[in-house]
Amino acid sequence: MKNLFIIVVIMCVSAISLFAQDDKDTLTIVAENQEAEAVYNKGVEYFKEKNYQTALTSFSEAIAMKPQFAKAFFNRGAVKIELQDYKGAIEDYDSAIVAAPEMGIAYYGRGFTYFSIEDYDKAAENFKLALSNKYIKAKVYYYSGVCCFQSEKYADAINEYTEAIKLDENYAYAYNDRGSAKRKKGDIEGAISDYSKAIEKAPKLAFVYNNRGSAKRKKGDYEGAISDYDEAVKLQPDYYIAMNNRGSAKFELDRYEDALGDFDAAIRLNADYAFAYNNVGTAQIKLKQYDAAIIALNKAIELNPKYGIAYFNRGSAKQMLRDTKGACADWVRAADLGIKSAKQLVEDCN
Amino acid sequence: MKNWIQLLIIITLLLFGNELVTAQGNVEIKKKKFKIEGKKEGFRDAWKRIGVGDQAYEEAIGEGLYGAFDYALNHYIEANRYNPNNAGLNYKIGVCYLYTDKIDQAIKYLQRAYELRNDVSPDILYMLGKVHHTHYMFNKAISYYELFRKGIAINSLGNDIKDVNKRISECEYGKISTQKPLRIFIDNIGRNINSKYPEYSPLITADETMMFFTSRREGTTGGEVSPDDMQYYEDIYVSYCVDDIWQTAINPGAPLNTSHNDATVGMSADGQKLLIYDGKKRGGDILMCEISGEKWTKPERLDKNVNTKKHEESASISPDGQTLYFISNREDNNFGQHDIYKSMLDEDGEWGEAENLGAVVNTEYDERGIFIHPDGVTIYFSSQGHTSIGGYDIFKSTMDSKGNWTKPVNIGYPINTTQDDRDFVISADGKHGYYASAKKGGFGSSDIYIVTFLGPEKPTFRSNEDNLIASIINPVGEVQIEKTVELKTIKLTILKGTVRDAMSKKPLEASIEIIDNDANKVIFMKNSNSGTGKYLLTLPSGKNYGIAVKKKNYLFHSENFDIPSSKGYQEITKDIDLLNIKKGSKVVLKNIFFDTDKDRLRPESTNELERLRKMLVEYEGLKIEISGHTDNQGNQAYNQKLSESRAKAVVQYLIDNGIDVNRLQYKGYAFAQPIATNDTDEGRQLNRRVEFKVISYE
Repeated sequence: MKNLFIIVVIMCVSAISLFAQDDKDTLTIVAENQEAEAVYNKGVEYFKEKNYQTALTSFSEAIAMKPQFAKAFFNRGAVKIELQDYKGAIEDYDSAIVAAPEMGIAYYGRGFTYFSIEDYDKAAENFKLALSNKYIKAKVYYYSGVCCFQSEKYADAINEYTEAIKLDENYAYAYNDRGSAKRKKGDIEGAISDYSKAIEKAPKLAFVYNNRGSAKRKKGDYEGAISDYDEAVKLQPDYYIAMNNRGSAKFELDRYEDALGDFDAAIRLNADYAFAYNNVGTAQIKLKQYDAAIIALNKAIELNPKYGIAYFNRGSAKQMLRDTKGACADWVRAADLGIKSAKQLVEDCN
Repeated sequence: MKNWIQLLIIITLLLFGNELVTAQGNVEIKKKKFKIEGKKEGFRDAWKRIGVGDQAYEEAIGEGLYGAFDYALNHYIEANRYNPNNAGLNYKIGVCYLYTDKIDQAIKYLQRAYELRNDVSPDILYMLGKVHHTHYMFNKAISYYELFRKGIAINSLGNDIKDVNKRISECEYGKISTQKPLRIFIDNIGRNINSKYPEYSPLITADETMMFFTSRREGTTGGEVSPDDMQYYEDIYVSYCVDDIWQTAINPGAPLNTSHNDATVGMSADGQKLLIYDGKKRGGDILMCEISGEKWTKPERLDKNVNTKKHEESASISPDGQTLYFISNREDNNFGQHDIYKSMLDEDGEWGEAENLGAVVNTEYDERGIFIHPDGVTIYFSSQGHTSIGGYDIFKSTMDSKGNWTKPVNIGYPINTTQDDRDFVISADGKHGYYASAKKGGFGSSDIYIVTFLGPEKPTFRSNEDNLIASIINPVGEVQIEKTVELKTIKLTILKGTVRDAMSKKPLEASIEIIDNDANKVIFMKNSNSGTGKYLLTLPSGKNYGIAVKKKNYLFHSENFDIPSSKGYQEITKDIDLLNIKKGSKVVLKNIFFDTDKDRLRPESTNELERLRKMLVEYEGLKIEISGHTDNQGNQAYNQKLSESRAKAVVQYLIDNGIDVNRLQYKGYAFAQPIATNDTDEGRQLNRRVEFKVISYE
């Protein structure tokens, strides 16, 4: 979630500077009688210096002087997010909204705070309010789309992303996410075309190549997938996720040795990557290296003791080593962990 | 049995095992052609060696003394040093190598012979096809066969064309079959069963606890050897499996074994009946014997519907004991050579008129080695026809609900090879097969092997993830799997155990009736073994079974097994204790059914009610109490009323069907006498019951 925080902060800072600018203008006109505003402006300066504790004090002073000071509440909310006091932040945004019910950006700020704590329903609600209160920005639509995505409402997500793109036709993130939403809905071609758009707008985003590769893999274009993954790891050499995915694409082409090479490479980039250990195991099963497969799968299970499919795979490897009891025990575990295919095998074990 | 044993032992015989090759006979080497002009040295010796070699070669071919090929070969090789370019000699060396199983050499010399003279022998191309065929070089085999076919097409030898076309189609099937080998382990069953002598024809009980097989080892009854092949006469042996280990085989002695050939061909799924082949009389007949206590009865010839003057050999009995499948080459309704027939047990306990299994299963070629699986609907047999990849292959066919057999399916490579594969049996759970094979690395000659079926290849599951949302760094995972595979599990329940006297725990021989409750009819009957009290029943899924165990002077015992059609393979062990008819003895009537919360007897109860009625008719001095019992759900008054009215319904049935009212009492106990916990569904189910108790018996 770290990325999200950064984005929230950027948003808040820009909001603050916006208000600070406006206020400076007004200050020049009514400076003498506006002590609260003066303290407020100091707060903005402290915030920019990342002196959050002092900024907090300043905004609080401003609020004490002027209890209906919506902008001060708003900015104090931003400070509290920095201090990871999400609850306090929401309270401040609430107060800002009470003081100024038409302050669209305040809804946006509150929406983001909910987003930060993964309450996507509330976040979406606030984004809507931001829009209806005339804070109409591509970003609002975009994050609104992310909320829908996270709530698995992919059709809604697609609409939101589309709105975001209407406002900002270079919005690579929105293209990427809309592609992902389409993929979730089973529209693989649509997904590939959106990922391609995203690449066109921002050719250096490794994860978009990865995503397009995975969409191609899904429709069976393994060669195309491999070349996208190639690009992804070229842009981001430590991108172990893409490396692991490339292995799977090669696996689908029955290139088990090559697949194994990629899975191993993913492990070299992230020694705790359980997925890659599991996948190493599957490639080794295909290569009839059952002993080695079991070692890899043991590691996957050690990293994630609830890794159902790793048990399933390990059971299959054990069967080939004539360890029927061990195989059945693993399949039972896999079935307990919700792997449906294992249930059939367990029935056959008795 | 003898012919087939030879086939097993000397597998290479197959290379010549058809009418075409017998015509090949001998190739004469002409002295003039053998002698190299201007090379006197060594000729005399070489020519002499050809003479010696020829004598051995002719004996080998003509009389089947295959050991002589080695001897001939030694001399031919020496002669070949003098003149390596004689087509006839190269041909003969190739043939000798065939029999001594040195295939590379055989191919080399036969090819050389062909190069030197393409008409060295009429069958040279066929031989080259056959040797490549046997060793899985199907494409080469086909090209030689096709060349051979071209040659004979000119001479328009119809039969030969048909034969070579068959070989070509075997190669085509072979190409397909070997591309997808079965996922199996094949293991030698071990020295407790196998010896350096031939072992073959394994038969197992449904639960794989007992195996009968035939062996020609040292120490067979009488200790004599057959003059035909100088091997010991056959005896039947038995081994028991304890903790997954087959124990040292035992010779069960007389009456199964005599000083001549005694060979097993079939066994009932419960191991209580054995089918034996007698090749001495009437062109080969099938005998049957039963175990009574620990003793086998004298094998008796099956009646004339089964045995004719023609050759009857292999046979297998269905798990309910009602149908006999067997092999015969009788001429009636025959599709050609040996076919599979069936005969049903009639009401008098005689085998009824034999019926050919029909054109779906039987072909114009030989069908041999029949085995019916304990599921009662799947047969395994060997055939040279269908989609054989060479020689006999093992096929499987299933009878559908209308009694039609499905198109036989080749059970696959590497169980089926390009040579003869026969006498395959499979366990009730379908996980193990047993057969005999003369593989390299065995204990010598033909050995018994166990096949472990691993089922379809298991899918492998891979995990992948993507950064689907640009603004959120956490990737979204996805599991990627291969196509799932459908597992074909055998839907069968094996019910086994021991019938005993409830007091003394002494084993009892009792009759066991298996009833289809829904159809309200007895499906089949069996007896528990008189010596051990043991029984084994195979119950295919999809029925509500009533089991009634009866013995004179004992109260009958009833069990109910509701096995839904989705139920896979299971083994249930259930020991049954029979109670003497005397005051106080109590039996639960497990096959009496009521509508839920009602006292109306369901029609499925009829069989049990009738059993009860017949017992009262048989034992006139018997007075009984019928009691109703409930679980503890609901209130006392309700349960009291229900239990009593249900007991009364049973008594009323008996009165309506002629039993004196003075011999019957009924009582409701509600939940006062639980026989299991009321805390679980299973327990409550057991508690809801009707019992009868002996009040007095005079």
